[in-house]
Amino acid sequence: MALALLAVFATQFAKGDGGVVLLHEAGGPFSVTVFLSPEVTRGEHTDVSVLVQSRTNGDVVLNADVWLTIEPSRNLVARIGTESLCGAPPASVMSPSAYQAQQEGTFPATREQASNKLLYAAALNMNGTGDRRLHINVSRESDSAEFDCLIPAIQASADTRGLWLFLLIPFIAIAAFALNQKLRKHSLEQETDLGLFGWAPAGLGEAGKNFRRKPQKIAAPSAST
Amino acid sequence: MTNVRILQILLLDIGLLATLYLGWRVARIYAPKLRLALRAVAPWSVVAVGLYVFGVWTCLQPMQMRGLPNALF
Repeated sequence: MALALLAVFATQFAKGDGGVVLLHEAGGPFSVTVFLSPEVTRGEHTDVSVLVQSRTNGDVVLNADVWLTIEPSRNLVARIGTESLCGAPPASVMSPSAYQAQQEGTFPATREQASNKLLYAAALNMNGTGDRRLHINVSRESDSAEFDCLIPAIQASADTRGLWLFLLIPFIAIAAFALNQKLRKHSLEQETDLGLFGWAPAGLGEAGKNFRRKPQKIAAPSAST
Repeated sequence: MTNVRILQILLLDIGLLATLYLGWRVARIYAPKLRLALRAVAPWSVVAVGLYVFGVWTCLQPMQMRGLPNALF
């Protein structure tokens, strides 16, 4: 039990890099890898980290400007249909005005915010319901590239409406049983030999009797013996 | 999905009630007085109720969230 508790709670203090790869794609002169927290919960901040590399030689690019835009993906998914998680930029399937209207915010991803200084990081707040589309804009001097990903949102907890009755059943049963025992108190306290299921198995019944019996004084052995 | 969740809760209910009942019967074997039996069964009842609450909480989590320590806070 102690080991299980330790395994659950000790991970809070672990310093491991737990990001999962959301996207690895090459575009323009860059190759971009996006890391995301393992769990994305609605209404909470989610760490997004971006590794920018040169497309030609794989060197890490440390002087790029990285901007992250988070937006609802419902309309995009409906239009794209069977598109995979990461695909074409949303601007190609939406009008610019609609695209602008649905944008929730654009945030800079910086190396200062990242624990690993090779990455550009930002903390995004996943408000609203449903999945989110992450738009990444990477630029350096005259070079730029854009990437898109779908972030699947997980609801923090299930709807508990309608379950309360079933959660109350044990407590109602306990209350009823306690009332029953209280009403039968006198008769119950006379049932000294009851076994586990209301009958008296020989071993348990005798054990119960012996346990309840007052200790007997043992006579000291006589000197003559 | 709701039906599955109700079934899970009902199974947990049955498990809790069976645990408490068996604990009570065992306590009654060794304690003739109701008060003494209640004192004997109380610690195990707390453990059983705690496991029940943890089980319900786990069942209410989405499948993706189960087993994640960060979900506790």
